[in-house]
Amino acid sequence: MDRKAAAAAARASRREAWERSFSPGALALVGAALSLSLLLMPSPAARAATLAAAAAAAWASGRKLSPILTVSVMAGIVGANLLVPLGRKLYVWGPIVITEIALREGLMKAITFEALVFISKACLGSRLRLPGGVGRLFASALRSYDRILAYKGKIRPASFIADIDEALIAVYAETGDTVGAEPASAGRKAGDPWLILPVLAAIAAALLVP
Amino acid sequence: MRSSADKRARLASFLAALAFFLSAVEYMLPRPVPFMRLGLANLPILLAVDLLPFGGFIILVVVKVLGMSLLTGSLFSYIALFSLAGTMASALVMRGLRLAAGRKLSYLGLCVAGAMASNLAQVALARVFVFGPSARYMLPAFLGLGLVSGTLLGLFAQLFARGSRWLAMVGEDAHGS
Repeated sequence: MDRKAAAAAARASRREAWERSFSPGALALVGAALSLSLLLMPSPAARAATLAAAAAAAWASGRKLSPILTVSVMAGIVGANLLVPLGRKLYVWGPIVITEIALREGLMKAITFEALVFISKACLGSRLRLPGGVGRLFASALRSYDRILAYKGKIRPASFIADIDEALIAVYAETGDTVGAEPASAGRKAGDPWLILPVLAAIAAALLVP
Repeated sequence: MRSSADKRARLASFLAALAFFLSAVEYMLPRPVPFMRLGLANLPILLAVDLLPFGGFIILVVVKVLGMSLLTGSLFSYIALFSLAGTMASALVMRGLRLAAGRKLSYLGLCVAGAMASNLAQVALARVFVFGPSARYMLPAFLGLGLVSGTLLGLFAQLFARGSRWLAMVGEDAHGS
């Protein structure tokens, strides 16, 4: 097995363990609470700690992560914020001026941006079923999506439009009475009660850490 | 026999599924410029301008953004907010232009206008949440990329619409109901 296949197998095994431990509904609620708490945290250190914990959780959930992309996005956000000088000069190198407030704001925004991404990755997935009419429509769309995916191998670049058209005709005919079908219920999982701990920690960090 | 509301719900959910699929296809395509996306997943929104009534059209936009944010795990991040703002701005501009100009405006015109509206909305949000006042330096590049991606997707949509038997079938279904 090459390295890529081994990494994919390891991710799949982590994802299975994650899905066995936590129900999608509980994870989504925790994700919403953590995201809100993060936005209310005044301390950059608390936000950085949340970023680290969320990245670890996203890794444990079996999501594919790219440290290079994360670092380059954060560097881009900090760099863009430095373009407009704000506050005391910390460093001058030719045309590049690093100012204190611009740097602090840039870091805060970059950390928040990536922490929200990792919280979402850890807490959300296609297993989540939404309530109401939009939820039923979404569940139906996911079923059609699975059917279209089955045609993926038959779509060739040389005849892309004709192949997609064939697939759409075939799948559209199969999607009979799917919109009204009830979404599957995932039930509670053993790990759900433990999910209160990160929420309490995040609320404490938002309220108590200056 | 199916009611027209059922037919519209079926079509809206199918177009959302098509958006999820095209998003997965686009993920596999190489990008000529980092951050540049052709926006293939917006093709169903473009087609829906002529296929769904306004309510169904807006529900499709919401389900597309919600679904893609769930599938990619970005619903609680700024990315989902940017995606909702961009897709909604683009959808409303395309719908408004179709209402104002009718069939005189081709898919290419609709698509370019939609891409510009989407990028403008996203740069405005980026100014507030991420980049601050520096966002103005990105505006020309973003609008340029929007022009290129909107033109490419519009041309693709015209080619697809000209030859698609599926589109002719659902079009008859939508307008016949």
